[in-house]
Amino acid sequence: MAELRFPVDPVHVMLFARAVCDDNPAYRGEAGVAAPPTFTEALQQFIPGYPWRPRPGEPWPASAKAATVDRPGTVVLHAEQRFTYTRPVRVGEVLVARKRTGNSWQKPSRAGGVLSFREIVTDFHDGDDAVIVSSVAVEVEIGADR
Amino acid sequence: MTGTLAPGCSRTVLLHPEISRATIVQYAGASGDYNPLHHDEPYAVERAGYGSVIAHGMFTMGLSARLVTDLVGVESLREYTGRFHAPVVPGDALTGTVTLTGTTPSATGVLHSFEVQTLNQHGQLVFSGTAIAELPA
Repeated sequence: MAELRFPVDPVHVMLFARAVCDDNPAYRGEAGVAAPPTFTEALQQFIPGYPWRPRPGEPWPASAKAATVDRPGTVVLHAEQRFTYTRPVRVGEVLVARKRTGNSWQKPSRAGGVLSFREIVTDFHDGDDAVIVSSVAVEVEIGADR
Repeated sequence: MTGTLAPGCSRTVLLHPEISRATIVQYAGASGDYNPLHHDEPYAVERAGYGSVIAHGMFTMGLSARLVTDLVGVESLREYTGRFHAPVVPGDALTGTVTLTGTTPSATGVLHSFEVQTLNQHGQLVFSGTAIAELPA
């Protein structure tokens, strides 16, 4: 995947802290202050064509005027998450995110089917090209066997 | 806690008294993840097979991060990991416990290791994790 530019906006940090119910006044947007530890999840706002962001005129898999779902299907869930930090993300800096695919594996499900796991690794680089945060998301696809 | 408690000591905090659908939507807006599983009841029930919409796992992990950062701040954090055990649904009350499990000298300070557990109002584990913070010696 191409590099993704991720500007760390003070209002975005404030809204994210509010969304994880962290009322620490340190997150209220002063330049240079640290963002909450999971703030890099908001990279999704900057991914072109991110599939879980609705766009006018493009198909959306869920209900619109009325329930438009058809039948049970597969669902991808976030099973695990790992962050490693050399320092926190700071308000005002512009990060560059580089994504890559990590390991993938399968294991039997309780329903007798197969659960498929995959890792998505994202490294967040600062202005000196140093990796300050590494994120590993483990996703699992369920429902293919039900 | 780190200055006054030895490894093994813990602290329990009510993280959220009642998760609402608005709470979940607020996280969707801030994170940018509008997966309908988290806000669209027909999709969550009829397609995904859940009893209702469910909160983002990363909402719960973000909420639980306070257990550690309220003690040691964000600057010192070196690692934060977690596993999602059960869905968080509207109406849930979440309580978290952080435990200092050990300390280890590092080249520039002391590594403090923590365990984090977040339970719903039924006592069911919804999130468990670990964190490492590096503090001055």
